[in-house]
Amino acid sequence: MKTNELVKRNISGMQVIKTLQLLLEDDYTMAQLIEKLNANEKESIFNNSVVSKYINTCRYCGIDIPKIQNKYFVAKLPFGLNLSKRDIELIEKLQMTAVEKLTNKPIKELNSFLNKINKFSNKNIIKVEKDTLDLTKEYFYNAIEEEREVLLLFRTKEMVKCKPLDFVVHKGKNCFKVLYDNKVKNVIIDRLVGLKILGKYFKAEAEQGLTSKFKVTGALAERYSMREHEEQTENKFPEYILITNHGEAKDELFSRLLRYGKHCEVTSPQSYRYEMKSILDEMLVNYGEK
Amino acid sequence: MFKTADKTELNQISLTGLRALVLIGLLIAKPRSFNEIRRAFIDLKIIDEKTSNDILRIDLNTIKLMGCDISRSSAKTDFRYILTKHPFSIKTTKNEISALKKVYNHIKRKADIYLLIEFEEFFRKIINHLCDEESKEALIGVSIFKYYDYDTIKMLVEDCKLRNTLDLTYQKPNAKSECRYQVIAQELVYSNDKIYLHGQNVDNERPIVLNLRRLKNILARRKQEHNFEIKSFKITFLLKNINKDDLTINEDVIDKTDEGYIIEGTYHNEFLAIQRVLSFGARCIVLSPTEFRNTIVEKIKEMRKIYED
Repeated sequence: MKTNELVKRNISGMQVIKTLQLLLEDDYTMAQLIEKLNANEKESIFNNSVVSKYINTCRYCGIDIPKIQNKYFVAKLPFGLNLSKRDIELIEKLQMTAVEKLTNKPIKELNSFLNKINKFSNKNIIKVEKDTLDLTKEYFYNAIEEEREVLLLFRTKEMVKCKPLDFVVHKGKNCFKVLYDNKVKNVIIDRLVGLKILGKYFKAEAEQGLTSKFKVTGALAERYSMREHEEQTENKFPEYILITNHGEAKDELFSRLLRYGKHCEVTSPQSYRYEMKSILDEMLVNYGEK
Repeated sequence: MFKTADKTELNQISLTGLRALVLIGLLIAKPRSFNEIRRAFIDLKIIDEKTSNDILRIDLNTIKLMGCDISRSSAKTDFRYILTKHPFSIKTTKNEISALKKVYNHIKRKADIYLLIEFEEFFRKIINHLCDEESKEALIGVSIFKYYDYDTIKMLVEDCKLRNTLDLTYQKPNAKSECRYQVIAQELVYSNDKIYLHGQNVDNERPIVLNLRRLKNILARRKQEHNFEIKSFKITFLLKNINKDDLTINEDVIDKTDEGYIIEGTYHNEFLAIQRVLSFGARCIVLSPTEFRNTIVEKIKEMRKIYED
């Protein structure tokens, strides 16, 4: 069997792949790229002309790598994850639900996963030039419609994260009207070199229920299918089965158990049992029965 | 995916690098045989007819050394190279997938089947880009469709749209043998962690609800051929403290009062209407029809009896 050292390989093929891997990790300047690529080599084999050639190779394959503010960005990968507008909305739904319902640790894990997806997806970044003005406007309008933030990359190397509002012509100049620092500003497009479309982030408190137990009887006991946070702790079928539920949010749990009608009885904790009783009393009062 | 090479431009790029990237791209798109790869390279003008096969073999070795896992081309793989891992694939951790599952579980509680199908399509897109089988299986395990034949579900969605008549076999919970039904497909409903087919039973012209996990086989599907009236169960109720996610597409706000909103709900049958009303707890008061209101009162009394200590 051949060892890796003996296998014939194309060195520059490997180096092009390394260059692309690095560009997918983050946005780097040429100097940073050279430094990082040489870091694992015995001697400096990467230089400006070699790395430029490798970036051009990637571009030749259809990988869109604009250079904005001296940094190289991977904007489109022909074999990347091509996320549709709807996919992005689903990602945002995941993020919003996470911040509403989960604690900080899983939110962090989820964001880490979504960042990885984002890294390999075709990103919404565009180099702002005369030739790309129409496309830049289209990106900007999409960001308004989809209620996303944008990152404006200025010729001065400044970067501003803001909320896009409109495209306007102000004093004869094409401008992006944005909300920045709680103030509405008109940014002259000629001052920009790049536009990046960002996502949305929200924060909220998580909600977690207690461990509870309930009996399921009748035909429901036979066909009851356990949730993932549930276990059957007692089986007295056909009389009843006892289910232990770990941490389902209380409102959702109660809503579900009420649907089961007389075939379900909350047994613990006592506070849940008491609360269920109160709900039923209140329901009867609603109908003038108590 | 890739443009045809223009020889005048090739001196500005690394041809071997180009072949490596194109090769990864071709194998990400689909498994290919050696000859298919060679043909694609020739068509893209990055090699010509005279180029030795050894060049391609070296290219395969190169991308393997850079982290591509490529299966051997054998009869088992239909003599195709299958790329199972590549340097541009997504590496996930168990904790990340577990967090995704947690949030998906929250979403699915209030989701309809169509949103869950969109998530499934999204997950399937991601799965193709994950780096190892374990992560792929973990992501498959997140979705509710792991319990179902997804292709059947997609076909049933179409059946419901077209109101097709299905000839099917079904395992009732207590029956020893399978039942056979002719059902006009109306709607797929995700409820209580299960997927149900709501339809009309052709034989007795009554609504029928089938748990898809008990669906055994669809023997035939025919275009709509029954014209009887589709029955549904309509009620009105008062709902207090309404949340934006409270109502489904079958429920409409028809009035507003000081106490809350008056909702008109249309359900597939009385049983589902009862379940829905009870799930709102004390926030809901049935207004009409009177018989249904009385049924609900009786149900609540039965439930309350359980808690007489």
